[in-house]
Amino acid sequence: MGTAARWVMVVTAVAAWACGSAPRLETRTFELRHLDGGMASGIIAPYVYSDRPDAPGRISVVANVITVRETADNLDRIARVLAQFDRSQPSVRLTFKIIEADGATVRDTAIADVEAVLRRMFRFTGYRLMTDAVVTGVAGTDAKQTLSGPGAQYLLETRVHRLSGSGDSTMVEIRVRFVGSRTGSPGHAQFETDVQLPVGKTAVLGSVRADARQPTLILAVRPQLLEN
Amino acid sequence: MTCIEARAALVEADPQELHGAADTPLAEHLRDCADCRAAAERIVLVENAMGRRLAALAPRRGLARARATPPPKRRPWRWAVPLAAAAGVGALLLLVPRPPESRPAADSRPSTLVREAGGVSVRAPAGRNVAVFETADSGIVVIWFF
Repeated sequence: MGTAARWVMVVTAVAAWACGSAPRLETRTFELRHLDGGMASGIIAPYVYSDRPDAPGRISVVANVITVRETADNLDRIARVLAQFDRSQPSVRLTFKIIEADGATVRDTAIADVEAVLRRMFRFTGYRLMTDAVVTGVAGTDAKQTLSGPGAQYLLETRVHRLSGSGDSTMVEIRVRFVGSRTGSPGHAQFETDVQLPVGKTAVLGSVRADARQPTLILAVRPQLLEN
Repeated sequence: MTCIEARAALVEADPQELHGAADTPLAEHLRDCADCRAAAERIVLVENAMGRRLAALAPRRGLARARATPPPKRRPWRWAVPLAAAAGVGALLLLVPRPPESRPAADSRPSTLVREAGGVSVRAPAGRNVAVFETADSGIVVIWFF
């Protein structure tokens, strides 16, 4: 083997070694449709080798655009991950009805279904709808509403913890804090609780009165899944 | 009296007997048997709690008067008359893990006590108990904190 041939072999070997030690990086930009940039960055961070000695990967986020510098393989992987998670989240509508027990002598048609159940279970003289409220949101949504009814005020705080499952079998997990009082009286927390229930089902929440001067309040909540 | 006989007799026992203070076979058994005594104490707690809760629920009629003059000896059929009350007692017997007297303020955070029924699960407010009732309407579940 001549000297020239040896040089060719050495150069080829060095080039091959160099290519193997410092991978070739590419830059790709992804536009997010539903995911928050920060959240997307957190999701793909494990796929970006920012501590690679010779060719560290990088992520930059501007609003709903995320730019990544990585190897082609990793960028493909990142694209698949983003496609998996950058989807519209299911949203839910929570319909609340605040009902006062012992407050009515005639039947309230607005709460006919719930009232029929309550009459079979309890001995209150009547039930009337004081007010209602609607909260719409996705997982993580917080809502705080001050509501008024006849001679009374209410505070309803809701957090949609999460939605799981799909379609009619979707489960909704919420936290509810419910405070009610006669107008002019200090508010009294009826309860604060976490409830998980299927969409389409009504949970009727009540509590024994801690203060006999306050009416017995009942909160009915029904989640409905919204089409996106 | 055996424990089995004592447990059967507990539901008809007078308060004196439940406290082990009477001169009856049941009271004597309760004085000697810690397990049955614990069951009796639980019944006393539940009865007391139910009395207070029913008073708070303001029933239509008669309960206050009935409670003011308790019969000296309860009869089994009386448990079946107010179906709702019996269901409530049953639920409390099953669900009360601790005396309601230990209940703190009502506006504290949810506890770890979770109940499930009819596909619904609920976490009781801290220090409180919760009962979940399936109803005749499969689309409605009643949750009651006490």
